[in-house]
Amino acid sequence: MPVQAVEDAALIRRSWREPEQFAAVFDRHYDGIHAYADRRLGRSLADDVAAETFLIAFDKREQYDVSRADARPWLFGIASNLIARHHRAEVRQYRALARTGAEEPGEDHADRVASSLDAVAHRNRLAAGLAGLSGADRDVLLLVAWAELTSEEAGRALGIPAGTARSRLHRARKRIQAALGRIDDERS
Amino acid sequence: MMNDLETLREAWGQPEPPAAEVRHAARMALLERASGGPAASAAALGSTSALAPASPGDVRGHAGLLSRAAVDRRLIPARVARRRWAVRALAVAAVAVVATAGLTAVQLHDGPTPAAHAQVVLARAADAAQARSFGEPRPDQWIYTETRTWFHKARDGDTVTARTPLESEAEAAWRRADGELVARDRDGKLEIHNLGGNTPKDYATIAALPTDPEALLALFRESTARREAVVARIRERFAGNEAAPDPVSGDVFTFGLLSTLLSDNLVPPEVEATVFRAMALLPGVTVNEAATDPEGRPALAVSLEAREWLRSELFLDSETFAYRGARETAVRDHTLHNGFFVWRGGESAPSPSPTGGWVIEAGAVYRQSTRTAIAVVDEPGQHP
Repeated sequence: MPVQAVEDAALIRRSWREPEQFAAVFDRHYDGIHAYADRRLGRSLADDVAAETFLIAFDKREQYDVSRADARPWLFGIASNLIARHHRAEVRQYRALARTGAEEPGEDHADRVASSLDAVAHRNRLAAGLAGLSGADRDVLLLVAWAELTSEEAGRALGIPAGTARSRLHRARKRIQAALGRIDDERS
Repeated sequence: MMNDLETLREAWGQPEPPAAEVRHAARMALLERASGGPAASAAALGSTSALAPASPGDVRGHAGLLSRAAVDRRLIPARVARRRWAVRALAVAAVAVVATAGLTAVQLHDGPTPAAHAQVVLARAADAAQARSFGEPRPDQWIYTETRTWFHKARDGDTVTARTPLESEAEAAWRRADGELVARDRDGKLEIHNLGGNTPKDYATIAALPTDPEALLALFRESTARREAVVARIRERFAGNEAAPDPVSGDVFTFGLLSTLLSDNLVPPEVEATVFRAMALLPGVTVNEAATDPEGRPALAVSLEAREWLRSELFLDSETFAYRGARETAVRDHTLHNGFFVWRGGESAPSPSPTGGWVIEAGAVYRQSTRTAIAVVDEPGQHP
């Protein structure tokens, strides 16, 4: 019998009677949740959101559907709800980015590949596009783009049917493409 | 045009990882909450353990100590875990002589107690263990154990009585004798878990444990002391809150660790005998020769009452004194609080349990487990 890595679901199930086991879920996913919250809200709110996500997840661990091996959709769903509380701060951040224009690549951007410098140059338009999305559409889009969930997983994370998630994603992507398209138009 | 999703990804780039102290604070908050939970005494019931840092290099983790962290990506190399135990054993051996002197003085002062009967029976169990025939496993062989655990999935607001049915779960585990790997059977799949924790997990280390009961006890009390530090911090932070969590600590935790050593491992006769003799040294330990184990079989129970409401029992076969199982039972009505930490401005703050905890009535089993099989096999996944 092949020996394989333990699944999130097994860890969570184990934590039902050995709560300390939940630390393993934290060790696996904290950085990913933090990075996601950081992109959406900035660093300082991300610290709070990421910590709170795991406290809430711990409290809800007995409701986890252990037939789902990967806990990421569940965790990102909890994080999304927390991020939604900071809706205004998030939109404010996108608007600020949209105003500052193509950001001067800071030190932490220095080793980016050339193509991503192009991407950074698009950032103001993207930020404007994100600021203009409804919270619901933005949640799906960013879970797919930044958390790298599938649209089905994003739907599960947000507690909406897969079809709804797909149509929200489609709508959000059209808006973002339009925002990027305008850049191209202006340049041509 | 670049794919819009990729553009989004690249435009924001990968943020800097969280600051180490922020990560640590968040982990501590989680562990504090977890440690106050109803099953905080996991170690007392044959669980593999509850108190290892996520990785041996994570010194900060020692402050938390509450995660067993079965993290596949960070398997603690068995050699490190073993070394840790070996070093501890040496350090403890050095102080054992002093400890022995102190202990004798206390016993003389206290005079004979009802525990004398327990000491007689445990001495008999130790003799029987020592006389047992035993074959050493090869380093590349696997120790197979099969256990069943019963527990309550109670939520705040629930009341658990002696009639409340318990949930149960069976589990098979294979530990390689050289301690390199532990695998567990979950729904027909084997999963690797790390080693580490409060009790040694590999045969070589277990076979090398002190065979002087006081030295063994001192070694296990070191693990308990590390937990005490965390428990003290929780108590301090909840001072003044009625609904403060009350994690297992002290001798009952040590008793649980000794019990776990027997339940999870193939223990050579000398060491098993030493475990029984060490248990006999714990103040307040009693035996009941007419007990019934969780499977309903007649058994010998070794027990310790703790925290004023809980009795912790270890069951041995009444004929052979072989390990059978463990149980924790409420001896008084008790409210269990999970504790509650809220996250405020970058730090967790204690807060009383918002929904009042759950109640366990006197006579109700808190949790129990039995070991249904133990054997040496050649491959993980192989049943005897």
